[in-house]
Parts: sequence; structure tokens; C-alpha cells
Amino acid sequence: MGALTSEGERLTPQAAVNEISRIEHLHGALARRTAGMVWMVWGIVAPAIFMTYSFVFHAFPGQDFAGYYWLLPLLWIPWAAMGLVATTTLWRSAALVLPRDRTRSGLGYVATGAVIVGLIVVGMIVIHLLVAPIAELAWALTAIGIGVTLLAILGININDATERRMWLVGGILLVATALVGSLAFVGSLAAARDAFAVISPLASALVMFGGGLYLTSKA
Amino acid sequence: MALPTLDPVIHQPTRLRIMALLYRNRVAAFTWVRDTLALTDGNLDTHAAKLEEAGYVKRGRTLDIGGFQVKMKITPEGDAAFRAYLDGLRVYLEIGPATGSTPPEGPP
Repeated sequence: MGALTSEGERLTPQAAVNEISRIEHLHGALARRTAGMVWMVWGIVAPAIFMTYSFVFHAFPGQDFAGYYWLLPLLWIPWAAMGLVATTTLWRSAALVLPRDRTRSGLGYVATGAVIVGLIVVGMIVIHLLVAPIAELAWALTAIGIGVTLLAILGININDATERRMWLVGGILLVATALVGSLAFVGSLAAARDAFAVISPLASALVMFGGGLYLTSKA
Repeated sequence: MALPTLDPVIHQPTRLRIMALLYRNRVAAFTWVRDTLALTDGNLDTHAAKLEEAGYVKRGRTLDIGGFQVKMKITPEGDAAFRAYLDGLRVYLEIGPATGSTPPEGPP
């Protein structure tokens, strides 16, 4: 059973079926859309963390936060946990049809969340150790910017060179926003805190959610 | 039962792979198709032109991060043709082996 094709290559129906079966496993668009949705999830998680801290700072003014100071290092955890669960669920759903080598490994899920969350924590620790006269949310925005840049460099949740360039630019933009904003409010910590209560969630949402939406729509 | 004629535009190894890839992904960057199927620029261009000529694929430039990118998109005609091709293959696999039939040859 065989046939000559127009270019002289023999292609039997069985060989044609084999070719199609092989291609069936190549879902570039699905991988890209899933990666985009993961970024969108973190584009919601990051602003949510910022807004939670802004709320606490405004609801409990003063250095001891009405005795709830011990809660501060823990407030990000529920949001980050939800982000990690959503990330895992999205990639697990995609893995139903994506072949193994195109899915993200368990290490990938953890690394994605750990880099972002870890840098937020490091940023907070730095704030406490240095007692720097810079708004806390500016530090956190810098940390997220560095995190996004790191993920781009490491190629985590990245499918191709275009995405990598995009997230490199996105991460640098976040860091630049934090630096420029901090410089603009030098000498006025209260004003910087108020400003970054708006700038940080807005910038992180624009870059991460916007970037994810762009990837999803372009896939 | 008469065996169907397999579309000669699609029934060629490289074009079949391109069509299968686009059928699955709908739209794909030229460079991604080239790298995924391990083709050269010239090879992909030649086969894409044939598919475009048949109205199965459409190529266009879109502005993306890092500059313009050539995208390949399967057309509704291409979608229908690929479905018909799959149906034809199914018939060959069900009946062909029993009757010893072979698909018809494509045009020279």
C-alpha cells in the first residue's frame, strides 16, 4: 500500500497517520496561552499583596500596627499560595494534552512562585534590617521586577526568545518605576508611601497581567 | 465502496506536517513552524507557497515584541480540506488493507 506524492516522496496512509500523530503533540499555542495565563494570575496576586499591605498600613497607622506587627510577614502567604495553586492547576490542565517535554516540571512550578515570593520576603527583611527611608512598597516592587527579570533569564515559564525579551523588558520596567518613583519622593517618606500604595499595584498589574494577556491573545 | 482521492496538495510529507501543525495550533510563527518541523527557510517557504496557492494557508506580517514576525494561519478552506483528508485516510485505513488498495497518485 503506497502512493507517489507530487514531490516523488512515498507516503502511505499509515505513514501519513504516523506523521499526524506526531504533530498532534505539538501544541505551541497551548503552551504559550498557558504561560500567558500564569502571568495573568501573578498579575492579580502581586497587586493583591500590595493592596493588602496598603490597607493594613492605613487601617493601623503607627509603628506597632495596633499590636498586629507580627502579622506583617505573613500577609502575603494566602495570596502567594493561591497563585501557586492556580499556576499548578493551569499547567496540570495543559499537561493533559501537552507531551511531557513541553510541560513544566514540578520544580518549575515551585521555582516560579518561589522566585517572586522569595524576593518579596527578601525585600521586607531588607526594609526591617536597613530601616531605609524608602517606601516599603517601592522595595517590594523592585523585588518583583528583579524576580520577573530572573525568571526571564532562567527561562522559567518562558516558551521562546520573544517572550524572554518581553519579560526582561517588563522586569526592568518595574525596577525602573520603583527607582524613579523613589527618587521623585526623596525626603518625604509619607508621600512616597501614599504614592507607592497606588504605583506598585498598578505597575505590577500592568506589566504582569498586561503581558500575560498579550501573550494569550497573540498565541 | 469507492476509495476517496486524497488531496494531493496535503498528501505530501512536509505539507502534511505543516497542515497538521496549523490544524492543531491555528496560527503559528513562521520561525516556530520552521524550528518545530526541522525545516529550512527555503523548504518551508516553498511548501507554504503551495498551500497558500491552494487557499489552505494564509501568511501575514504582524508586529510583535522585537519587530515584525511572519505568521502562518490555516484558512477555513484549509481546515475543511484537512478534515476531508483525515476522513479519506480513515477510509483507507479501514478498507484499504483488506482490499489491497492504494491512494491515488498526486499530479506530476
